[in-house]
Amino acid sequence: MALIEIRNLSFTYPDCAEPALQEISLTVPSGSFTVLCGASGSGKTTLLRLCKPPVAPHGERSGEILLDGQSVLSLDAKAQASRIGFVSQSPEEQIVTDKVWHELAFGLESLGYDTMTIRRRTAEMASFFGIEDWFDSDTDALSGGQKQILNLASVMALQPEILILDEPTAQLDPIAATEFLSMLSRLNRELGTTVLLSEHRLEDALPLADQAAVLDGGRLLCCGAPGSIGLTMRDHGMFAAMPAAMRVWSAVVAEPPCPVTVREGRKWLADFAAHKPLKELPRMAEKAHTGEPCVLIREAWFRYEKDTPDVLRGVSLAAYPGEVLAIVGGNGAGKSTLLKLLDGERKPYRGAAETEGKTVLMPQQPRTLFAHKTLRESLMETAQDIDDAVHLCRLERLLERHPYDLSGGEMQRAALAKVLLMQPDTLLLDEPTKGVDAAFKPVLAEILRSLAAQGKTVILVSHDVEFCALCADRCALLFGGSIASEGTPRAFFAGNGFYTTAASRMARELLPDAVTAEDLIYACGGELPQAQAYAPEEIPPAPVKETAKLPLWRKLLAAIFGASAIGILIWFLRTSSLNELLSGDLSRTLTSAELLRYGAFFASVLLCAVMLRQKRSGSIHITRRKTPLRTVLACISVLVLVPLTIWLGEAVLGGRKYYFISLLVLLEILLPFFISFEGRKPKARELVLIASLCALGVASRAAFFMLPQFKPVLALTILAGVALGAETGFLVGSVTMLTSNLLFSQGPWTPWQMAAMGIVGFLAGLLFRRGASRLLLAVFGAIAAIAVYGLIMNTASAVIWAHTVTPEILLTYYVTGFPVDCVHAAATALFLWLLADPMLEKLERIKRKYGLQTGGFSK
Amino acid sequence: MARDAFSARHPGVNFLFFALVLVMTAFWMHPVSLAISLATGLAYCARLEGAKVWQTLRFALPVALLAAVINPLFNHAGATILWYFPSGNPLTMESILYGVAAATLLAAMILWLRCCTLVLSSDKFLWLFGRAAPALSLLLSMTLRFVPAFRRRYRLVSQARRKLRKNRLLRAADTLSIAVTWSLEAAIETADSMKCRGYGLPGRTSFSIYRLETVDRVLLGFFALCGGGLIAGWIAGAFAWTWYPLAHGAVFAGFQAAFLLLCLTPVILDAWEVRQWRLSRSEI
Repeated sequence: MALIEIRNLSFTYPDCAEPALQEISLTVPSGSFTVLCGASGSGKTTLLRLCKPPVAPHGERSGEILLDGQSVLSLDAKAQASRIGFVSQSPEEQIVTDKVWHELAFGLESLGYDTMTIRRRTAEMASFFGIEDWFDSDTDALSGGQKQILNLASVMALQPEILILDEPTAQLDPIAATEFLSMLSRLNRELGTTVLLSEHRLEDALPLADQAAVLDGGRLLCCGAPGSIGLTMRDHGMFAAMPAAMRVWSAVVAEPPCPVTVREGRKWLADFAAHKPLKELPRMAEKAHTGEPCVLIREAWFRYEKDTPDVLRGVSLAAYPGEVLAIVGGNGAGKSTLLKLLDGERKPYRGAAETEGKTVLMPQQPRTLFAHKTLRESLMETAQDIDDAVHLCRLERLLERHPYDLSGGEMQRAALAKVLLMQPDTLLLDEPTKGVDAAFKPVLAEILRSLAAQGKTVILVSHDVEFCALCADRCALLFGGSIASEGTPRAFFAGNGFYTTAASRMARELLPDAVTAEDLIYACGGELPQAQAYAPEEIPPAPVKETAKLPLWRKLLAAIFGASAIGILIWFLRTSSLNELLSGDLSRTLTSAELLRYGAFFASVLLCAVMLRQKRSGSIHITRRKTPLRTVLACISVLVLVPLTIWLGEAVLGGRKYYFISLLVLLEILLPFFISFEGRKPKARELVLIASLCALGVASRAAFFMLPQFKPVLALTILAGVALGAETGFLVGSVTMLTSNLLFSQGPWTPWQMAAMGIVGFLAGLLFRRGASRLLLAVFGAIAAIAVYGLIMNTASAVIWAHTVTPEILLTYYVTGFPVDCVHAAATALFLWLLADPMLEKLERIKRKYGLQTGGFSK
Repeated sequence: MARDAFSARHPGVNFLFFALVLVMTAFWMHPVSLAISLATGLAYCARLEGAKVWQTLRFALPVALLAAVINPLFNHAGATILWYFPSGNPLTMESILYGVAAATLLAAMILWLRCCTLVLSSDKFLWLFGRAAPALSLLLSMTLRFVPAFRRRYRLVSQARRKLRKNRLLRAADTLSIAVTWSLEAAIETADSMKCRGYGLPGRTSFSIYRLETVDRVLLGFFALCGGGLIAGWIAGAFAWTWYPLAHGAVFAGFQAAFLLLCLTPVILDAWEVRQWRLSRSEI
């Protein structure tokens, strides 16, 4: 019986001429395990997402997708959530909450289950998936593999009929990936859950499947038992993605039945060898190392902390120019630590680590390298002449794209180009095949080998033994902190019984030397399918940028106002000193002349900012927005209630219960916003965006803990208000303070800080509805730090600490607080000056890319 | 792992206790109750933190001292004049005493707040919000989840770009910029994952792992009874104390003893559980 039936589905993305999917018809029987294969860009993700309406892409579609005979689009929201489970690529990003138990319960909470049911279901899931041990821990403390298991479990808690997984193992190391896939297989076998999986690790996934479908260029090429897809894949350029046994079979005889697993492959090879003798493999001459090693590690010992166990225990290793050295080993064997030693980031406490020339490490997460808006700018940051690297890594067509819009494989290529531009003599790579699809692996191997041919040293650490066998000149096994064995790939993998390639496991008895599928194909007399030759393309020229120049009169006026501001400031400092303010009679210090001077100062600063303000050509343009009605209502209620409370406090309580009155005022400021936030049921994207900004604020407040008041929180709050609206500004400000106090210390100051920060964010949102230049924002930030945040917090200090509040005591707190407020103002202005443009640009990009444009968020 | 027996109790119990103790400490300017609050706060804080209690004290003492000094400088009420300032204002015995009382209050508040932070961990705090403000509670939980994620990303970026820029300040700016872009992009994927699991459906419930056990009910009853009695006494004036112009007032031993018992509850509970455990082991 068909659980999911896809009928004549076509789909076209907006602004695309070519359809992403064409006339796809596919049936997924109930209880089946279906694997969807295809190169990247073949439409796998689009197809899978279309089956899950909440994450379906926008575009033009025809045809239909039926779940149990009913169109998925006509299912109500609850059925869509509970009957179809969806797990995507990245383990990290799918986790919503901070605790494992809460994550498991999240979906059940959304569906409105009661506490007893949720308790039972989470307990069940925890024991089925083996997560009892970390049930109470923070989600952040888990490894990548554990996170992905948690994602699977929290989807399974909803007891879906079908589980759709979009390359769930792409970001995992091979060992965690195998574990994840076997967990999937267990779900399928023991619970009968239907699985629809797209996967590039076919070596592991195909043996589990009972149905496989091949997509290419948006068309479904074939669908059937896993053994039946071999020929189609070979003919459509997906040879490299197939399991070793299928590769050898398809290149040699290609007559059914097709072997899929290593076991079937062994049997097939034995039968084949019985009819036709296998050819001897040509002997590979071991590379003679000429000259000195450029990397030399001698009996190095290393540990991270004084009291922790040694990670590296007497490791010795040498690498020579012109070779590719692969280091393999299990989790926790110390591979990444060894790389850090090679890179010079860490030093061994005993022994030596010497490298000659420049070493550059390519990180596991390629996106850590890109700071600019386009790939071209990101590459130009490192070197002016980027042509060679662009050709080598095949990036010609991607140069004008935002680096974060690239796919996994494209980003890996871009990162490689960036690293190569740094002109390394030794290139270090950490798990280079993670997140890379199978088709790109031979290309990557070729790039690495051509680098070695240029005389550079390439050292890579990886779990991916197949890849190491493909590209390395020498392999070494790191175990328990030292090198357990090393040799040429043939000698090395032929000597290993378990830790070796699938081809080597297949041919163990017959051809002990063969380690890659290519070796076996050669021995059987088969022919490799011709890979398409790659022709480098022209690099398109960089688009010309326009820069508007500031007219001279504005520059002149700005200089005059700036000078006058500085002049007034100096005059200030000379005429009045803090000592005078403190010791003299406080009520008489602020004369009208002085007030005038204050006014003149702020006015000149403002005018100077206005003069320097300029419209930049198309860089940051804040989408215009209206102030939503509820914001106005919240505002009005604050404006009415607060003075009323103060007046009542004065009239009824005689102004003596100031603590009580101030608490009431704070509540009246905070509550309307929080109630309005609860009332409008925030959308998921709004919620995550606000949470991300708050997290940024909390993290930055913690990062600057050693500098009192020199913190970027106020600047970030202002930017949140400018980019996302007054109400969001208020929320970001107040929740940042609440959360950071949760991590440091709560106290009576918390509501004050929440209100003060919130008000500044709110004001920023109201004042700068169309964005502003960074100078204007910096000036606003400085004024807000003193006149709003400082004022409120100094009042708070007086109310909290002084215990009796008189005008004199208040003024004392203002005056003593003033220097600290100045530091805060300077910090805020500085951070706004530095952060305003890049932050607003990023937020605008997110808003545009994900359609969050209209008034704050209310869509 | 809970810090002590009281931390292991239901968040509602914890919350009621701290609300009572903090409010009573903040509003009762009675010398005996202030002394009780300070002493018990110190005792519980020491029980929770061990030797690290000194760190809290290091913060509390200067603040308290400042309050003790500021009051006689600015407040000149009181009948017993000790000395005259150069400005001509009097320094009075009462204003010094009041300053000392205010200092005690501040120190006690800081100690109790520290205990509160330690006992009401973030997930207990979220439980308190969960029912009344589910969206806000989820927002807090997500913020708590994104903070370490952001830090890790920052660390990874900073490691990756170590050799790209020599200038440390510029490098930090780049690193921040990348980590922010990364986090914002990641956030959208998180939103998709929420939608996949039905976020946005009407009737969302709020689950917590806390269960109300018998001990919790007993404690709740005790706090309600004791707190109710004390508040009744407060309204009747049992904790009133006059500081100016002459410091005087009455001490109602019964009420003060009840307050002492209330404040000591966590310490007593912990001692009792340790004893129970010893007893249960000795029976094996």
